[in-house]
Amino acid sequence: MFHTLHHVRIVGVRSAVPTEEVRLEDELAFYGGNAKKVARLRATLGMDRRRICPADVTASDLCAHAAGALLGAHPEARDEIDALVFVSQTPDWTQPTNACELQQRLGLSRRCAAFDVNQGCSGYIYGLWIGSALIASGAARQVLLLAGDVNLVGRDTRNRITTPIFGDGGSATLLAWDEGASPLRFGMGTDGREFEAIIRPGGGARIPLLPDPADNEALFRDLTDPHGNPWRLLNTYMDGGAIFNFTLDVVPGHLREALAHAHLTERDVDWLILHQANRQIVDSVASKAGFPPEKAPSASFGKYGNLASASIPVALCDNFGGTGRKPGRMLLCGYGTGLSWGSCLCEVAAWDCAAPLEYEADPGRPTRRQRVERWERILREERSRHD
Amino acid sequence: MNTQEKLAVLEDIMELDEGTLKPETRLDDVEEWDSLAALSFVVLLGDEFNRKISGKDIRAFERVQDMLDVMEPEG
Repeated sequence: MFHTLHHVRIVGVRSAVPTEEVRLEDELAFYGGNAKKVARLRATLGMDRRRICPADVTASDLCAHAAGALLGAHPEARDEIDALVFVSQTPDWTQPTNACELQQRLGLSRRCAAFDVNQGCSGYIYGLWIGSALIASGAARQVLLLAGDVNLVGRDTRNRITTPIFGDGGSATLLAWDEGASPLRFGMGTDGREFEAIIRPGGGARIPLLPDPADNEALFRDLTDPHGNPWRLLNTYMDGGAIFNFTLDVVPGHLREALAHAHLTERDVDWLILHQANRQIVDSVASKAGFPPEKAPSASFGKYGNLASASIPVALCDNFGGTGRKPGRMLLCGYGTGLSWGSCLCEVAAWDCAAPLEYEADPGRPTRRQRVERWERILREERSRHD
Repeated sequence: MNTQEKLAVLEDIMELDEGTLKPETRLDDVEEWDSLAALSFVVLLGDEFNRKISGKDIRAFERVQDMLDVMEPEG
């Protein structure tokens, strides 16, 4: 349903990507040394570079880095943030939510609500929507929205269908009540018939890891497709063709409806910022919705990869942070796993948006090994977690 | 678009030398006919012929002729 929320201002946006960059050429060996295939991937999908986290870095680390920079620029917000929303499909734990740990890591008030939202490529729009609704209803004065994904478990470097598409990224967005803010117009949609088009089949409660390791063998087994790509039930599976067809069937029409709801045409919109699934999808959606390519940037995909929930905020930072470009009237749209989609039509006169930040792993943070050893100590010795 | 023009477009999608594809060419014998080429083919059908095709229909293709057959405006 399309609807309008009032009195909500997008105050600022930061994003963070890891420093390690993988270039398509670096992985020529995974394509059997076929340089022509690599050239076709670049020409067709716009694949070029992506950012990959080192071991022990998660989406919450990238988001905390982005949030630290944003709160540093808006220190007065800490006491007014009444809700912290973390959007991710790659949380640090299944219990508790990332948002609860981040409340203390970011030094937010104890009166702050904190929760996670499980959404992927439509997730940033979901986060904006929930945050804006909380503010518009009076439930929160300011909302800190964190959106990011680092899909370490979901990927296998040898798999050439999913791995080279996805990168790692995190973001932080500050929303605040503002009597004079321009309206935010949202529209959301779902088609669960294709819920298996992007899915991690194993490892959740439906095909769980079981107490006896022998029962888990099926989840760790390599299943090789006819093109030689290994898959495991624990990896993210993606039916690229089905997603492409779905996106072109649904998203251009959704964008036209979003404009019609606001009594606008594509000529009235300065920017169409689409989820950077790949360059082909961005270009095809923009063209089918009637937008000229210069209004619908697609370069962020080639620089960072598909960043799932962090894709739109990184594209915002990439396009507007320190570039001198003015945001103006923007139509933001995310679409993907679920299948799920959503858009936000907003008018931004002035905001605080910086180029994507580089994240260097913090050597002071515990490694996986150290975390395992600590838990072994806690569980064996009944020692306090605070020792 | 005549058959020669269609073949040239398909060769372009798969980055093959001119004259490589014939209507009777078996797609199993074309190494470049992969998921990426299939995606380009879907885009081509939409852009040039305003036509949609499912993954299932694409997987059912056996020969280049099957591709030529759908490279027509839907009617």
